[in-house]
Amino acid sequence: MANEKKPGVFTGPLWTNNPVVVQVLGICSALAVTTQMKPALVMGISLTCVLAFANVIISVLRNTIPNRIRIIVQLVVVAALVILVNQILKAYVYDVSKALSVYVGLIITNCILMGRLEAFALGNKPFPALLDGLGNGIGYALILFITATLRELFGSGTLFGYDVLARFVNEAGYDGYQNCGFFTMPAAALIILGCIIWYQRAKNPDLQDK
Amino acid sequence: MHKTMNRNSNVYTVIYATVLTVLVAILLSAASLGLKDKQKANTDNEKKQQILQSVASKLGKEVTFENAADLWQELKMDDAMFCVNTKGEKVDGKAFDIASKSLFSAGKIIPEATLPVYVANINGVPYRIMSMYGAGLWGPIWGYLSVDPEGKVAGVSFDHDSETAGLGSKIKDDPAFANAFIGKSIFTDGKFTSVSVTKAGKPANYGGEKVDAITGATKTSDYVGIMIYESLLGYVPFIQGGTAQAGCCQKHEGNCGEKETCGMEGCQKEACTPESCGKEECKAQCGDKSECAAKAECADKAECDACKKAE
Repeated sequence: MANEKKPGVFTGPLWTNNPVVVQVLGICSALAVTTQMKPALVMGISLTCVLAFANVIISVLRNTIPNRIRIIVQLVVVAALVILVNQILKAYVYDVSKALSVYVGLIITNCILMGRLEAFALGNKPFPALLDGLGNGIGYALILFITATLRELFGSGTLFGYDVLARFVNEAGYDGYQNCGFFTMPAAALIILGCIIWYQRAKNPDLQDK
Repeated sequence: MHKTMNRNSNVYTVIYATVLTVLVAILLSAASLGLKDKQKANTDNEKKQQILQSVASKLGKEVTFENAADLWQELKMDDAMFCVNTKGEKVDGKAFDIASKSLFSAGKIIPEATLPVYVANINGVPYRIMSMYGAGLWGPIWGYLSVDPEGKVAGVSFDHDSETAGLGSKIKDDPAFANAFIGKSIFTDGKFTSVSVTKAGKPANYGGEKVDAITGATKTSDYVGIMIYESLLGYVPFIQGGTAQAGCCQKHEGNCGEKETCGMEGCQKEACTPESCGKEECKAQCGDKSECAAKAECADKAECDACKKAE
């Protein structure tokens, strides 16, 4: 890991080493917060921020952290950051904090965080750690966003809450759009994720299991 | 320096953990203290928005997070809230600071609870706004419901903690759902029948009026119906009292004795003197022993004495 080149550190997680579809981390939240685009987007941004900061902090502290309690130290840092972010959101952008509700707290349990802290930040300098955090966060946000777009479009016929499909269908001369309830279920997210993984494996033979 | 220290020793581990914890605790406490006022202002403002949202249709405008505080001032809401108990009597308390959650135990209203009431006087008509709280499908749901002097719903506002986005969350996000409540009477032949929420085509489960459940969110809709029923149950004596008083006021064309307007508070204590309202209302007031003794102006002494004895 320590030998990875800097560009790879940032761009790798975006697609070829994506935390969600390749490392299969953070699946729980990818299923839970992707019914609509807005929470998915804000969740992606929040996770990216927390991951970048946590990566840097752990990387700075990496030579002082006692080995036996390193997981606890990581958890404390992440939890403190998440609480801080939550408090600031509540005070300054109350509506966004409302939209996120429990999701902010859920960041603590996101496997990507602990995964990156343990696998990367503990063994790398702060700057690569920052890039790694940003890359993984954005890679996660990307998958969330794609999934949420499909789910909201077909599940509610809207994009960011704006009626899209119904208007389109009406203009084509039919009467209204019947929401596909299946897309609002977590199972649909799993199937969409599966399709993304399928597409990605088909395009990148390196990723295929031999 | 850290190179020379043994990072695996117990002492180092304990000291490290302690220092880290204390630092984080200080940081978070400072953040919490520093941001407390701003957060409180936000939650207060949101509460005002939700309260006023329940009379939005009577205000004729949208209540947003931004204009809630101004509207609150405009309607003089700070002076128009009080507390009642489950017998419908006014009691002391700070209405705005009551957390609706604390009024319930196992989904039922606590008999000795102090319930908050907000009165919005819009175009001379007092709308009594009551607070609701209950369990949803995934977490708590709450809201406010306003009734006009006749006991009909003037509007509702709902909010939720974690109902499914796009389905159960429609109780808050879909104005069509909240608007369906407007004009429904919560009384049938003088009996409290709430407003039920059931699937289209199904009868109302409390026997009164109903609105259709949200498609795809049947469970959340069910819980909304239960919340309205259970929450209003504690308010029934108050609403019925107020409705009778308001009826009395209407009979006398808004002449509430010394009071100039037919506000809910005014009507309850002063307006219904035997002279202005006739004996029937007086009898209703004399039902309560303590009230009876205090009512010197209760002209019909014999009647009062009779009900005193009955008690």
